[in-house]
Parts: sequence; C-alpha cells; structure tokens
Amino acid sequence: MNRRNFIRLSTTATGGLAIAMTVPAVAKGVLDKESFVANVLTEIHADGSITFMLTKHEMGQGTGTGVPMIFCDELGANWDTFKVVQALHDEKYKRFQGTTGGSSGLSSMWHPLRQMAASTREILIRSAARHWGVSRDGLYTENGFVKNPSTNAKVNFGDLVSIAPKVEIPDTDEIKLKDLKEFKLIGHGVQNRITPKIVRGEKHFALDLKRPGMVYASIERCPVYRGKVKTYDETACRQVKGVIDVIRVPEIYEDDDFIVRDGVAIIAQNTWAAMQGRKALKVEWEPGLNGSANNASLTKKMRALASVSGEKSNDYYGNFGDVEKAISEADEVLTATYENPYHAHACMEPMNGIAEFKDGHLEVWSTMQNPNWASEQITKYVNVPVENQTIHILPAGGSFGRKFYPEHVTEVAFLASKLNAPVKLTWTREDDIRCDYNSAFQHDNHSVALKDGQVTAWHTNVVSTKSWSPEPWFPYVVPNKLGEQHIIDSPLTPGAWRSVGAHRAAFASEGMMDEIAHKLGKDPLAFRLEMLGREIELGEDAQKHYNQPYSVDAIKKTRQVLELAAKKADWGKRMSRNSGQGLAVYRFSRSFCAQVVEVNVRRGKLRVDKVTAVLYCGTAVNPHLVKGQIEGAIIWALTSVLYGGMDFKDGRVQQSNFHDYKMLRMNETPEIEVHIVPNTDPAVGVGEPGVPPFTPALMNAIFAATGKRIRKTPLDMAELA
Amino acid sequence: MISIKVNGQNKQVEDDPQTPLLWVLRDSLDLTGTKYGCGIAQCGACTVLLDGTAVRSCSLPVGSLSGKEITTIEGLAKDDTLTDVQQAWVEEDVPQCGYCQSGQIMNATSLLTRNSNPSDEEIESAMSGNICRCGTYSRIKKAIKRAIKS
Ligand code: FES
Ligand code: FES
Repeated sequence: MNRRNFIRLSTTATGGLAIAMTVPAVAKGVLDKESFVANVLTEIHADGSITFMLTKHEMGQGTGTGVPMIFCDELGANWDTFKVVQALHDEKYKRFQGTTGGSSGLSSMWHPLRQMAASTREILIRSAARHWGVSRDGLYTENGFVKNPSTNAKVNFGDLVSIAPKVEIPDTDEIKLKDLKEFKLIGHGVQNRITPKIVRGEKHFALDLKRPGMVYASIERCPVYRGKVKTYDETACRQVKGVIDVIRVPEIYEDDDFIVRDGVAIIAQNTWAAMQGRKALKVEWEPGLNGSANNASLTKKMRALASVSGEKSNDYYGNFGDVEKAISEADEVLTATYENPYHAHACMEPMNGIAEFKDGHLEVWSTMQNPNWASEQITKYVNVPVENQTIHILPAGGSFGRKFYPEHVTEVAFLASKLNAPVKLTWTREDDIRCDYNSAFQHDNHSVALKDGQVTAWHTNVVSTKSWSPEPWFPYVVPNKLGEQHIIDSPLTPGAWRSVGAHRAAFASEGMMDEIAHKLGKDPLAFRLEMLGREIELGEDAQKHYNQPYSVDAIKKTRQVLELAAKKADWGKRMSRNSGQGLAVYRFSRSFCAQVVEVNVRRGKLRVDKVTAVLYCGTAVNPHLVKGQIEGAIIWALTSVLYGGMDFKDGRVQQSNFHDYKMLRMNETPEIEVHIVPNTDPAVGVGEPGVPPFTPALMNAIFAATGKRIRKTPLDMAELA
Repeated sequence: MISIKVNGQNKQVEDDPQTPLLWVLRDSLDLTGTKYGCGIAQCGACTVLLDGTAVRSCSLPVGSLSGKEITTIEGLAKDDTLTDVQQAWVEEDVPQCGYCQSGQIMNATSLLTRNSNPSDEEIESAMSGNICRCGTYSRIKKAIKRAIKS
C-alpha cells in the first residue's frame, strides 16, 4: 500500500474521532421558513418529518440503514417519518464523505452522529421548554415528540422549528449521550431501507437509470495488466447494427492503485448492440511486462523468497526477543507454508456508470466507495474542475472493495467528454472477472520453535504480491517474535478484497495454531486459551507489546469469542466417523470473530455441515443485518476455498464468467448459526470480520476428520481422496 | 417491429430479433428490475416468467417471443398489493445489496406456482440456478417457506 492510500485510509480510520471533537453539533440554527436546519446532515420540517443526508455508501452491508438509525435513535425521532437521502459528492460533507470501506462505515459515524443528534435533541428540548414556559429539566424526546412527564404534554418536533433557531446552542459538556438501554432502534433492529424497493424491482442502482437521448458503451480492454493496444480495426464493428461510434480509451496509469486499462470503446444504441460491436472489433495487443506471467512462474518466485529475510512487518504483529536464538535452542521447529491465490470480487452488479457532459459541466451517476477519489480523477484526467462536477453516488450491488477503485467512473466520464449525448457504460461479466483488482497472491511461511512443550519463538515470513498490508497478526503470547515480508510486483492488478489481507494471514496463523496444538497433543481450544493467558517470562519489548491497550483488548476479546463459540458449537462433542470440528479466531478492524466448522469427508467428498460463528462487534446496531453479514462472509470464504483462485497464463486471466469462476449456491450452503457477544461498546464493523476465521476453521476441521493438513486454497479435492 | 406482451401490456419494440429479452426490457422498455449478471444463463439475475415459468431473459432472443406472456418483477404486485412471495421477502428482510433479488423472487414465484408445497431439497434444487454473491441463501429459503404457509 503506498503512502497516498495510507493517508486516505488513516483519515477514515481516525477521522471519526476527530469529528467528534470538533463538530459543533448544531451549526448555527437556521430557520428556513418551513424547516429547521439542525446541521449539515439534518433538516427538521414543520410537518415533523426529518431529512437526513446519507454520506456513506450502501453496498449491501446495511450502512444506509444503520447510519441513519444512529442519528434517529439518539435524537428520539420517529423512524417512520425519517427520510434518508443519499448525499451528492460535496465539499460541505467532506468530513463525513471519506471512503466507505474497511468495515468503517458505521464505526466512523457512531460517535460524531450521536454527538450531533444529542445536541439537536437538547435544542429541541430547550425549544419545548420555552414553548411551554417550563424548565427543560425532566423533558425528554420520544418518537418525534418532546414530552413533559409532569404534565403529560407533548409537542411534535415540527411544531418547534420556528423556536429552535432562537434557543441557545448547548455546549459540548451540556450534551449527554443516551444510555444503551434507552435506545429503541439500536440493538433491536429495523427493516433494511432498501427492501421495499428491491422486492418491487424499483430503480435503485446506477445501472437502472436512463437519461434522455442516452447512448450505451462497452469497452474492449487489454486483457493483460499494463498491456496496450497495438493496432485495431473498427471497420466491421461500425457495420454492426446499432453501433454509433468507436472511441479509443487510452491507458491512465497513476500507480498500481489506479489504472484505466488501454482499450477501445464501442458506443451504440443499446447495451446489446455495443457488446455485439465489440465482438466485431479486431484488436492486436502489446502485452507488455506482464505478458508472460502465469501461476507457476509466480509460485516459483514466491518459493525462492521463502527463506530470504525481508523487511520487518508492522508493529501490530510485534517484533521482539531473539527469534534466531530461540530457534537454535529449540527441541523442534515446525515450519509450514500456506498459499493463497488471487481472487476476484465478482460483485453481482458489474461496474457501470452514466455520465453526461454539457456546457463544460459533467454529471455522473455511479457506484463508488470513494467519491473524493473519483472526483479527483475526473479533475485530473477528464479535465473537469470540481466546481463543474455533479457526482451522484448510487448504491452498489455488492462491492467488497472493488468499487473502491473508481476507474469505471473515470472511463464513463471520459467517454461523456467525447460525446454529445449522455452515455451509460456497462462492464460485462467477462470484463469484471478478467480486469478485476484482485486480492494478493501470497505465501505465508511460518516457523515455530518448541521447547519443553512450549512455544518459544514464532517467525513469519510473508511473500506477497503488491497489495494492501498482508496483515500478519495474532494475539497469542510468545516471548520471541519476528515478522518479515517481501512485497513483489503483481502481474495482475492488485486490490483490496473482502477483509483486505486478513483472510490470508488468518489462514496461515490459525492453521499453524492447530498444527502446534496437535503436535503438542493439546486440544486446539485449550491450547489457544493457554496461549492467550500465558504467564511466562517476557523481555522488555515483549512486555511493552503485550501491555499496550491494543494487545490487552485483543487478548480479552479473542478469549471471549472463542469461549462462546466453543460453548455454542458444543466444542469437543463426539463426532461420527469421517467428521470433525475445526476452530479459528481472528480480528478485523476492531471486531473479533471465532468460528467452529463441522465437516464430513467421505470418499474424497467434502460436506460442510455447520458453521457456528461468534462475533464481537461492539453494539450490534441492527442484529438481523449483522447476522446476515456474517452469513454472507462465510459463504464468501467458502466460495473462495472451493472455487476461488484466478488461473492466469501469458498474463491473461483464464476464467471469464460464472461457469468457470463459480460461486457457492443455495444447495451447497451449510447451516450457519451466528451469535453476537452482548456488550455496550461503540459499534464497530461487521462487513468483513466473518471472512478471515472461516478458511482456517474449515481446514482444521478437515484435519480433525481426515488427518490431512491442507495449506493451500483453492482446495484441491484430490487431496482429500 | 416485434410485438410482445409484458406485464399484461402489448409492446412494440424495434430491436433486432436476436436481441436477448433482457436488453429489450432494460434498454428499450425501461423495465430495469430485471438484472444483468452474466449473460450466459449462469446466475439467474435476469429471471422473468414466460407464460408463468421462470426463464433466463439474457438467453432468450426477443424475436422468439411474439404472442407469449412475459412477467417481470415490476408486474408481480397488483394495485400495489405485494404477492405472497414478495411479502415473505419483506418479512424476512432478505436483501443485502439487493441486486440478485428480483431474479430470486421470480424464480421462487415460478417454483411455488408449479409446486405449492416444495420440500427443502426441492427448494434448494430449484433455487440453485440463482447466485447471490452477498450470500442471502438462508433467508431466501426462509422467505420461500413463509410464502408456502401464507
Ligand atoms: S444474466 Fe441471465 S442468467 Fe445471468
Ligand atoms: S443480495 Fe447481493 S447479490 Fe444477492
């Protein structure tokens, strides 16, 4: 991950807190005839309804429901008349409009929104006090009213809009946040806001919109990352019925995080004609530096680095003690390599967007996790300054990190700038699978020193293609630890995938934990608990590492989710022949998830019977949606184990669509049980934490059932035979 | 000019007869509830009813459809009253991103028309043609069972 991205990420990760300190919760109250503008996101209308601007991106994680719930509940407003409007990309929302990603959508808004809502609540209470001529003490809000328990009087928020701007704005220390027990929505749940529209098939995605006179585009892109168009012949293409134009789309390469592939766009009267036109286009490619890459050559490169020391990994992991010495003095050293292939996102909604360029003004409708970045790219590469852009952010039909990369927005904006009609760009499924921003190809090499039945040192050497952090992490107490990494150039476009790098690191370290437990003849659960609470002699650096609040907290929560998962899954119960239970735990962002997987393996056939997941996610704002995210994450991870992995040859991804890049289907889905650790902490992310523990828990279960240790995904069924 | 009947209405379209129904619905008739997911009959996102039976509109040339009744997701609810299947979807709050759901609902509708009381296995096998990348399968199954009861 380069520096620019780091800054972008850390702004999201910490921006929330910064906002909480600085947002004057009620901006200068303005009486706009019929409504009270409480702050940049909220307007209270005279009829009592409220309009709330959603600045986060709804991609299927329920963010578009959860975020407004926080505000509505803290305020004591009426959810039924709480209107949520997706905000345009706008400077005025800057502090709330950073990237939606890294499972931060809700957590970054939790505190600032509650502060803003509590402040608005205080204003309304003061307004009601003035309205009744009573003291504000004892007044409270509920369901869109301010209530006075001593007189049983109540007044609708809407009736206070003309008084509200006149009352004094409360100081920060006069604002009191609600106790979790007082919440009516948070923790109880409401219906996903998109459900009523979706079941009727109403327009919802950018792909559903239409502009008058709109034309349709499909782009033939170079199948090799960084390759170029050598020559192309559009003669036959122009003869295809419905084809209007052919436009060369030159490559934009900023760095590995932002690339518009070199290609040729077909413009037509409808999507189908554009796709047909593409088939008639003749292009010869110049494959460039990645033109000879394939799985085998990359694997070879990775293996060659397995025992070469690399750069030290992050402090999260912890580097301390003398690993070399401990290894040399060990009774035994366990070593293993865990291998991860590239994966595609394969969101059901392919990349798409609409753009219209008129009189120097560009209007765009698309799906994006990162509107600031999209806008920046349009300024830079389509030469439209921010003040001449209107960017509509539409919900995504799945994103999982894919729509963080806004090249589809740049592509369609570029096409619009060349046309005098609005244009809709649709990626085909083939484009989507072949030109994805893939998760990294990664080998995790672990060496663990054992002496007198104890783990004395842990060495990790991660070899990964360029990507976001490979994220080696674990909470277990080890006296000597060294994490190293090699980040090498990626022959496929590198990107962030659901759970970023955590799924790869978890597969290895939680697999390793299982290997050590079995080696030492210990129960995998008991061994983990022991490793979390070891009272052993630690050097100064190690003590410092384990005493930092982050580590203390991680140990506590890891233990919590593990113990509950074991209990819920009846860990250690008798299993029938050929069946086994496997366990794993991991953290993502500030959430923790433990899973117990039960499998049956007979005659080389794997059946995943049940998955029990326990999640710590702070306050579960919308428990039904939270559980859905964990179910989805498990299905996501199981898909990657069974069907994942890009095959590439001559730099070209070999798969192209759902027949050869398969997805798990209903008939293959195991029973999934999700439990949430009850607690009153601030809400943290839920979209990704369910992914990392699944694969190691599954492989550990396969080991329990068969004695076979699988250290590579996708799973080669022949290994189970 | 091709005449087709969509959601009870007669429509004239000028598309090439080879054009898959999916693109005629979406681009020409602006019925965008029906979704594109793969274009090769693998994912079910484009499912509509043809004379009451689920078909994949991405793989059905519009030229072959004159005289047939096509129902899309927009045509299910009558006078704003949801069908049992749609209602069950609301009650189970099935969607995550929602993109695959119209195809799922159309397929479930077709299943329950054919078989008013399918077993778990029959549900799974009938629904296995529809991909949900968000993984809402257990809720889809629950919704179908709820619809059976109503
Ligand atoms: S779009 Fe028709 S089955 Fe996928
Ligand atoms: S709900 Fe997102 S693909 Fe099914």
